[in-house]
Amino acid sequence: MSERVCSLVILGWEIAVARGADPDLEGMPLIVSSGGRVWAASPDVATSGVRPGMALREAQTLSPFAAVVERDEKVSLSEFEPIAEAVEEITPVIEITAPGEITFRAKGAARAYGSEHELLERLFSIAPVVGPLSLPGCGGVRVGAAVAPGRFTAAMAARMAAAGREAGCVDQSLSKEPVDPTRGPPAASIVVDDGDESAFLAPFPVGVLGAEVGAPDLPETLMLLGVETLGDLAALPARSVASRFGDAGRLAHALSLGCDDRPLLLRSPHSPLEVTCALDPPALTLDQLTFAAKSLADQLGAEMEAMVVSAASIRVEAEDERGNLLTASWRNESGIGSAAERARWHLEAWRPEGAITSMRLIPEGIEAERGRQLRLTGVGGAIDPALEARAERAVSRLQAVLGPEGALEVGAAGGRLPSERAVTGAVERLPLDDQSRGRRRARRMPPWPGTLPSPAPARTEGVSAAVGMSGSTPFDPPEELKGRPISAAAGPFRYRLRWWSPSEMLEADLWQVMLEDGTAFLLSHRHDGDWLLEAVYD
Amino acid sequence: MAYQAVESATTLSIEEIVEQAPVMHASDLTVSAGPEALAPPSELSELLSAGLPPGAIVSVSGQAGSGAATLCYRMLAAGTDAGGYVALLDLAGRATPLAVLEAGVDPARFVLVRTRASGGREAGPSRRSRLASALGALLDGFAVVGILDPHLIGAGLWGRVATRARERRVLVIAAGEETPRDVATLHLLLDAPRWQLDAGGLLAARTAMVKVEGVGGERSGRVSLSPGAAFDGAGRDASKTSMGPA
Repeated sequence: MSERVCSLVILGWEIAVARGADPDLEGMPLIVSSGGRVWAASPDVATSGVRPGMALREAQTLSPFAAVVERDEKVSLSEFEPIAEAVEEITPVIEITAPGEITFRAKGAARAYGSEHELLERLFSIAPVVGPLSLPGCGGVRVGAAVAPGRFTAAMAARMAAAGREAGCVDQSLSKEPVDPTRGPPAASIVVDDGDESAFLAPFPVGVLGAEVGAPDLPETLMLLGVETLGDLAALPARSVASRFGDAGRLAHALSLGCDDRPLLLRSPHSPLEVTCALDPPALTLDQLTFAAKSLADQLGAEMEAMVVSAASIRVEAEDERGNLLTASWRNESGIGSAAERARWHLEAWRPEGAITSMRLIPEGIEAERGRQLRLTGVGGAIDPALEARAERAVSRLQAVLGPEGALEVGAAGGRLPSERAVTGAVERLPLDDQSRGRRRARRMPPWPGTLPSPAPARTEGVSAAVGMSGSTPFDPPEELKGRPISAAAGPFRYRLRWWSPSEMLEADLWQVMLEDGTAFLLSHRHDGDWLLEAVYD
Repeated sequence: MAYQAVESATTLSIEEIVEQAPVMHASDLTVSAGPEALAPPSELSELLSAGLPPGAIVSVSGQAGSGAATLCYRMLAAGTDAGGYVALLDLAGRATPLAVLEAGVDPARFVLVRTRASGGREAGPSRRSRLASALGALLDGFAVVGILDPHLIGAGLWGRVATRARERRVLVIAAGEETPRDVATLHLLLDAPRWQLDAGGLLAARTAMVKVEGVGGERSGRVSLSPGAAFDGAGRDASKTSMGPA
């Protein structure tokens, strides 16, 4: 069962902000774009069929006279800040989902104000105060609020309320204000009861999912397949949707049933959870800094525990005497207890030039603590979480000291040369099998034509070598390597790789050679005549 | 307790093995005290019947081409087979990842560590302290740590590595032409590699003389060092037919 969530949506916010920034746009049809797609459109443009998420070019075909303005998120957010602050007067912990949209948990606030309806009334009481003050062009803005089980349902209900449409199966407590500039924009609210969410969502068109699931083209594909509403989508088997559309489809299906994809990212501005310590005298040694980091982490841990919140990531900032700010952040997976250790690794890796004068620990992505789900993975059935955690910490520490490319994971790949048949990449997350599973499966790949057969040389050399030839054609085997006679040679294996790129092209004859003492090497004869000792079968 | 039991179980039936085999915990490799040792790779099971002792430094030395690197990769594979996380510190950046996979190392439990900074050369002290930090992290986090080109680590640092490895019960394998003989408790000397060629004249299988020196004396024997069979990808049988050597 999803928790009760309240959502406040200001429709037309982006348009109003754009018009506020440029009064010449007042009264003109307007499209606010972001990244080549429509972000918001004024009502007169929307009637011609322009929808958020649509490619800008398509929108301009539908509405050729509309002015197009690029979205400025910073301005939009800063304009929204007074409204967010006003809402924080009503309930302290909110999520700013987007400029113009606020989400928060309804349960506590509803209890404080008596009922959910009274909470909504209370929310609207801020509208007349904030609306006209902060919005120069607020005439076209409509406010909707809703309480519903789950974030997505609440957001949809609030949009529906703002648009002033009738809802079918829900209790609709309308408090439609007449359009009166002194009282703020028109507002309406909806309450969706627990258990009604999927029925409530069913009539919505699938177009509302595009931005939610991060796949702007998904709704169009669904509509081509005859899936037009969220109800149609919810009726499909989840497994089929996931296999056809992958993660985006799985998420869309879950949303269509009213299940939420993520917890709320709540912010709590009155108690900024960051801890600072000024170091006086400035700290010169790593030990002093470690000690300071330890006490900061303890302090932060105690504060977070008192508030029953957890952080998605933690950032450490250190400032030296010259005012240089050193900063690093990491995913807070192992809990706040490891923050001191992590901070120490970064300090160690930074090797600051001057003395450090102050240090801060800042938790980011704060949300209510609900316990962490441990991963239930294993290789060959045997896994020891403590061991895995140890390796994971070691990898983070190595990457802090050596850079991300210092700790690499290895996987098999297709290719002809030994260097192509195994790929490396910076370790992003342990256990490694999450990411390398695909590659390990690739080990059972069909034979790759022209592969240099196993065994692979154990070490690369990459140095040019003096090689004696028996004849003058490329097919004559080499006779001596660095003055030592070659007892057996196999080749040439002719490779012409990446011929389409002059800078990366490799044209070479490879030779496997064995010397009289039993050691074996891989040589390459470049087409320019140079010999290279590529690798040794060590 | 686990590893000897599995070795001696070879004469039992499958059912008996399943019944009697103790649950192997990867942590046995690193934290338990006592005579438990890591089962060595199969080719060394006769020479190293006592197993590889956790907390020890094992030096694997031999000239380039003798098979020292391959043997090092095989011991890492023994570590992943036993359920441990292993790492290879590739100091000169010369290890071939494919050969590591061919040796049978489980990539899900393997991390390749390279110390070279991508931009420019570093001054001596800075490199040394980074190396010390990296070694500290490796010895804290992994059950088996392979080190290629161990001569690039100074003698002073080796003393600290030995102490830390003993404390943490981490098996360290130092493989290369020059190895830290004075800190190692077990020496494997490789010599006289011999390659067997297949019908097409390509390298197929190798053997080498391995001399084991430890506190219990010396043993030597010729072992097979051609681990390619462990790698079932584009293996040699499949590719040989499509290759067509000149």
